[in-house]
Amino acid sequence: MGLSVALHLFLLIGLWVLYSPSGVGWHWDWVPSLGASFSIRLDGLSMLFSWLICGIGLFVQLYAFHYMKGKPLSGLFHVYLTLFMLAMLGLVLAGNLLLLFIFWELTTVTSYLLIGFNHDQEVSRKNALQAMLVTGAGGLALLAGLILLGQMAGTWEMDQIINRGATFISDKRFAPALILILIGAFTKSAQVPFHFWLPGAMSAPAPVSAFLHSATMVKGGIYLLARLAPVFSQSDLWFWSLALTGGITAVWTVIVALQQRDLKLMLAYSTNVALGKLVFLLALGTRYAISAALMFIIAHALYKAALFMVIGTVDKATGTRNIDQVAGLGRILKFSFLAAGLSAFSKAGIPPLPGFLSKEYMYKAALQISYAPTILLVFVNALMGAMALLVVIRPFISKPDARTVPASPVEKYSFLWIPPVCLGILQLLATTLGLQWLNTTLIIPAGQVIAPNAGYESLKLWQGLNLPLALSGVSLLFAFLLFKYHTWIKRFIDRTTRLLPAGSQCYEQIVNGIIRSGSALTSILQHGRLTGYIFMLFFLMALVFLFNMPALPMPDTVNWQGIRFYEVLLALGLAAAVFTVLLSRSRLLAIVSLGVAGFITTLFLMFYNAPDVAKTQLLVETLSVIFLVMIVGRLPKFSDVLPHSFGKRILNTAIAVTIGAGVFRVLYAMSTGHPDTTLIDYFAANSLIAAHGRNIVNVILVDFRAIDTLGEITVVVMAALGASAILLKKKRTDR
Amino acid sequence: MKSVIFKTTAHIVIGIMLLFSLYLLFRGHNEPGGGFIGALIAVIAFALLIFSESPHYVRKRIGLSPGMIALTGVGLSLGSGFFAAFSGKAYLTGLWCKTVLTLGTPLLFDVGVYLAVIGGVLSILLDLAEELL
Amino acid sequence: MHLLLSLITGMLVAAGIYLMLERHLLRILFGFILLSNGINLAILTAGQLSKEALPIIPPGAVTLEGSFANPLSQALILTAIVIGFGVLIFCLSLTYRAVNDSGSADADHMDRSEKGE
Repeated sequence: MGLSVALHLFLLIGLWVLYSPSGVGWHWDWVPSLGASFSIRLDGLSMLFSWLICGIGLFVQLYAFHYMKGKPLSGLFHVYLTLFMLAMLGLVLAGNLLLLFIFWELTTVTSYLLIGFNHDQEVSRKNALQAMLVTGAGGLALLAGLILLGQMAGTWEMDQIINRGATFISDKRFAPALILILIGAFTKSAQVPFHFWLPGAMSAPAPVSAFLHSATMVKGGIYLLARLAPVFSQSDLWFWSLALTGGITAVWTVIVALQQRDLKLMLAYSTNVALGKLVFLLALGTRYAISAALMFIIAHALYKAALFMVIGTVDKATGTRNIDQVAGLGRILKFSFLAAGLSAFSKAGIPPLPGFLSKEYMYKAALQISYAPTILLVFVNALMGAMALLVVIRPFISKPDARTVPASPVEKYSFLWIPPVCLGILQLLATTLGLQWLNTTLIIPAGQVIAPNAGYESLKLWQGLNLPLALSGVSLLFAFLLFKYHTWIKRFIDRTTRLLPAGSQCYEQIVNGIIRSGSALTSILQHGRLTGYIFMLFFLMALVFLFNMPALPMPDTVNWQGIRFYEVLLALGLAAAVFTVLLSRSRLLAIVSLGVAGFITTLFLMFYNAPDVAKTQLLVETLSVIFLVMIVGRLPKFSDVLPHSFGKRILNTAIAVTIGAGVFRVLYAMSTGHPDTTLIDYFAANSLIAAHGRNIVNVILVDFRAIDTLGEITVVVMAALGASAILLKKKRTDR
Repeated sequence: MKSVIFKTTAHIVIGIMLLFSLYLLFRGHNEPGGGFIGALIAVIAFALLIFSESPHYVRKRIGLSPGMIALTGVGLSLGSGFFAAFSGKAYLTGLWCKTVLTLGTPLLFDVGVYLAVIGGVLSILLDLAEELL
Repeated sequence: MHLLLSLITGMLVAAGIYLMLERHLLRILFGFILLSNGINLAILTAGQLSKEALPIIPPGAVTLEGSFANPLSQALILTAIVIGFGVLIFCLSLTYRAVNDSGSADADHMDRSEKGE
């Protein structure tokens, strides 16, 4: 466990040493024939994300030390957490599209392990599977999109793709690629209508939620959008799909969030809200919007991680997360109260915390565009603020009442409060002492990656009295009012949203539908009737012949040449034998006719200069008759089994005649063609010289194409062993 | 069915058929014949013996289990390819030694085919015959 | 001669398929045998027919020149015959077993074994 902490510290320092704001990269060949390389890119954007991943990861690991102590498999938990962190790090550092996709899928798989960590609970398993299916399906769409993108660019290296990005828009693959990549990013970043997996992922232990919801997993989609923004951001499709999806997600989930009674669920939905806002800001794409987005990524990561840890601690102390059952914790969980307060203030946007700063710039960006986005942002921020107040004031400040559950003083375990408090203090420092440093090392370099020509300036905390500041005040005021009349509003929301379907219900319907239609299809196709299987096989074959027959070439004149009289006689004899087999009601007569048919076939083989084949056919025919005669006495008579109905027999005849006629047509059409004799000439020329044999057929079997023969005798031996096993089983059961 | 005349002639005919099957096997490389044909003739010979005597009698006279014969045959054919593989050529390339007789690995391969087919078919034939007769 | 062989082949295939669509297991097996014969002839016909010379290098000659029967299709048929025969005797034992266990030779009653009865 100490090992994983050391790894995080090592990565944090290592990245810092390697980093330069202008961006650095390394490149190793991996599968050169596929264009897949192991290339790493460390620029402002990657650095911002990787520091958040490693930094928050470090605190989460520390927090998990105590949180998971005594639980089964807690060592494994740290391993999963570290693996997930590494996959996430790989995702934001990958410089090659294929590499990026591999890490993308690795985060899906490792997050499945984390979300489903309490695998003894059904809900946990179910939600983990749901998260994996939703993000995995999105991953497939993403793969298709990335492949289209790579084809447009002719390379998988992201540097080159982004350099050439501006030329793609006229390509007809541009729109499909964009849509597919957006589906991937939206599922990962839990946008409406894929938002439901994120609240479902709440069944994970608290440290996982703190990590997944703050700096990782859901930010993967945001990272991807930011990274590919230079390629796509010039298109209207990009703007509208991002703006609408982000806006709808933010508005809808903030309403749902306010309905919740479970503190953790409330926070989970507020993550959806934050992601919606980020997508919305990326759609705007101006320098203010991007600065606000980057600041908000930092702010959100810090406050959300801290808040989840605090809720985890509350859960540990009281055993419940229901907002109505916890109160007055401020005196018992002092440090958690401090961390929660700082984080909630940041979330609500109270100066000088990072949340305030990002909100300032958000309003600035929105005001530049029009009033519609401004109203949307004020609305969402007011509700977010109300929720922040709810999360901290209710459990920590309000007076205990009859429903309150008593709390135990869990803060004697220092690991439960040190990480959230550190995160709280970091928030305080980030926008005061560290703002200049943040500007020059992270935000401006990262902004230049997203929109290279926007012309950034440093973020400033105090910009004078202006409209954005006033809007901040307005949203805070609204937040306070909403908090005050929260119960009344909740009742109103409950009443209006009851009729709308929940996302997770739709998901369940879809999954159940797939399973049901799968089993329905199986019961149609795998009905267990042998005749049905054979019928389906030949019916489809007949259809193929029927639709393709007219296209076959036909020789111009009927060629009667070379047909001898005795051949016609033999053919008639063959026909008679075959019809006897078809019509005979006596088994023995059928077998004899079958033998006759086989021997006449042998004669034809003889006429056409195939002595080896003719001999083999003759012997096989003899042996087949021996076998059939041996067995036939033990089988029921033909009359013991009901024949098919008359209509069915007509249909069967039609199928058989169609295929027979089709085979005839194909073979007859071949007589006009000239066969490729390359192989035959080779065999004829080399049979004696190279292989010392005059019988070319035999030489082909044992020398030229010996490996085919080897396969064939293996089949024969396997059939024999199989038959022995079948008969042996009978003998054993008799005993 | 099992008359003395049938039994006696069967024993004589079987000897001739087995010899003939070997003859077909070895001449197969230059004239019609070969492993398949030889093997099928041998199986028919054994079938005659099964009907004139009994499956049990044939099993005892052969001594080896037919399954083993079949596997030996597949093994021989598989193994014949390794001569070429070990001398640096592609697997199953024919190698020849020309002294008095022309002998080579393809002949070994054909003997493998012969044994595999005899063993395989005879094994089912015996099992079925024991079951049914 | 191509015409005649094509006709025979078509007839064998049609008869084989008709029998394979029947319900009696033995008739399905008969259909299998006829179908195998038909397919063997089809390969022979597709490889072009020749009545002129065997695919065997005559004594004294070193290579085979002129018009001769196609050795490749013959080798393919040879393989097909032996495999078909192996599969046929396997099917025979399977049929025997199935009839013995289920007491019926009706292919539509075979699903009882699949349902584990």
